[in-house]
Amino acid sequence: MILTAEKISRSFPRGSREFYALQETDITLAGGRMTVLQGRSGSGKTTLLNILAGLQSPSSGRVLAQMTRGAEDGSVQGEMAPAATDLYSLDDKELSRFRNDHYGIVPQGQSAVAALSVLENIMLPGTVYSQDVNLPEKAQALMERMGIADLKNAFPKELSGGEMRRMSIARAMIRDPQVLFADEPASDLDDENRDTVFSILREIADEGKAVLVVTHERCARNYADEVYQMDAGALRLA
Amino acid sequence: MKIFQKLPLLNILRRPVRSAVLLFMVAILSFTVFGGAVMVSGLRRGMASLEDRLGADIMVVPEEAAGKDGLESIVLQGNTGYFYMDDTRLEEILAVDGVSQAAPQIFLASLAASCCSAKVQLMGFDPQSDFTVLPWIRKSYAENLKEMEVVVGSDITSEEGDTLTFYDVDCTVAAKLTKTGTNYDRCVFAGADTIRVLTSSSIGKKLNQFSEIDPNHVISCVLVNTQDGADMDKVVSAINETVDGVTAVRTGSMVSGIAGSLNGISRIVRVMIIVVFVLAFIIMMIAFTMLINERRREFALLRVFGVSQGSLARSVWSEILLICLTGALIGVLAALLVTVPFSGALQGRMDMPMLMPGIASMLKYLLLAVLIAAAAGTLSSCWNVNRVCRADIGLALRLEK
Repeated sequence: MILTAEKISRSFPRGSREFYALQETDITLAGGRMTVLQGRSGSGKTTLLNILAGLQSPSSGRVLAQMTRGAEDGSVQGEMAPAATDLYSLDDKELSRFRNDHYGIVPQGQSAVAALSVLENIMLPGTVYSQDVNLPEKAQALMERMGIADLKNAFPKELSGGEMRRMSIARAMIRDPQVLFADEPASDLDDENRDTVFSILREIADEGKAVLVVTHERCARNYADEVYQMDAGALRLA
Repeated sequence: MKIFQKLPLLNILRRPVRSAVLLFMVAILSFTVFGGAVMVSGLRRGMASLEDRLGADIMVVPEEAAGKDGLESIVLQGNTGYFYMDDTRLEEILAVDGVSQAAPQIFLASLAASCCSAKVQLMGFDPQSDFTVLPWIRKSYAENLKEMEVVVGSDITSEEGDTLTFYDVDCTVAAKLTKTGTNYDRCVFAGADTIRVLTSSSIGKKLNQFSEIDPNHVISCVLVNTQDGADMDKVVSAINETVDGVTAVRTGSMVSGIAGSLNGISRIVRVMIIVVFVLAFIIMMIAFTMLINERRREFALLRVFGVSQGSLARSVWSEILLICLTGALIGVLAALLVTVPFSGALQGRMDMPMLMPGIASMLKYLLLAVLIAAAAGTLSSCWNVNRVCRADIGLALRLEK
């Protein structure tokens, strides 16, 4: 999948004026590439990620998802499909289904359903619509890959920050998405856990997925194909 | 079942303290609704049953037996007692204008002593003229009662074929009557001849307060039906004026006190249900608001995973309805455990007849309690559910980091 944002912006009313969290921006995410987005707090990084991920509608512009033919049946590489999907022309039901089918999202901060175990949390996105018969095996494989296999029956409150992030990445990968979005996946982690998380994200990109990482961590540049800098809602290539 | 579909149930099971508090709130509401409805219905049925059992327009008793210490004490408070008047009063009553039927009854109370099986109220009726007791007995026993045969109310522990002894005279239990929910359930009934034999024996043993009476020529009360179109108040006045030493009362006035109390209780129960509903509604609204606010980030996460607004709303509603339905059933069960086994004690406490509603009515009240609990749950949380399902996902995730 190639994800293209065309002239997207996002503004909020602030008093009698409009505040632009995101100024008019173009960006493209392509399979096999890891894009890192950096900038100060409040610079608009998460707003851009949310818009690209179909979580927050832009004030202007559009986000187009161009499928590869192979991508429609689950593989990553393939010929380009003729028509692109404008995400925000979809209704809520269609957009929700699109997110479930094509996106993996690692939200910022604590991101677990408290009543579910680690295994159940990871499997959850795979059970919202039809359930893949191999889902438990896929979840097990992902847990092993993330190094949290022995925590499958633990509950979120029992996890450390690093374990929680790895669980979030495993859950984002359970539907074998075309695009992976990760918002501050290494914040509050120690150096070892931070490197583990970025290495995993790099591996995912190397498998052909498009990966967008929003992070403050400067070391993320070492894993990236492209690094963007966000400043007061304006995006530029670093 | 898939994890997403099981999520409402898992949220309830794996957060036991929070779930228990919510279930308790709903259970209190349904306990009040169901228990209140069953109690009022039981009292209304008991009242109808009592009117049915009294079965006459007018009752005539000796002057000294009128009022709380006499007939009403026996019929309404379930006390034992007896009083007598000469049986010639029956002919005099029958001669009063407007009287179409008159049937005598003879009372006797047994003792909690070695001469008697138990302390119960004994009621004798004349099979030739009776129109109140016999139709009731006919539902349980088709034969004519022979001498020294009795039928017992449903609360008497004896069964058909058992022998009961009163004043050292053995009587055979011919049948057991169907439950009425009134104090008649604790009475023993017999033909007039049998009661006269028992009365003679009680006098012979010097165990009867009225040692001077001739048991073969006394009666305790006369039940009167008036002719069609007759003015009952005028018939009552005529009996009181023309028959010496008696007091006639309309049976309606005997039960009017109960009817008044019953209306009072119904009003109290209605007010109680409204107060509990309002309180439960407010507490549930606060509880569900807290529950939903506490989990706003979780709901936003579900949206991130691709759960649509509609699916999220269904999931949250399922959880709320599961709590409401389970809580309602717990409340109904608790109310059943209180009202059914203790209906006799409630009846005694309130000095009012009580006949528990049948299965169909119980099911109706159960449905009512469940619907009210579900309505309270959904109404108290609908605004919050709607708010959380329609929230901007990006903003919700930022606010709830």
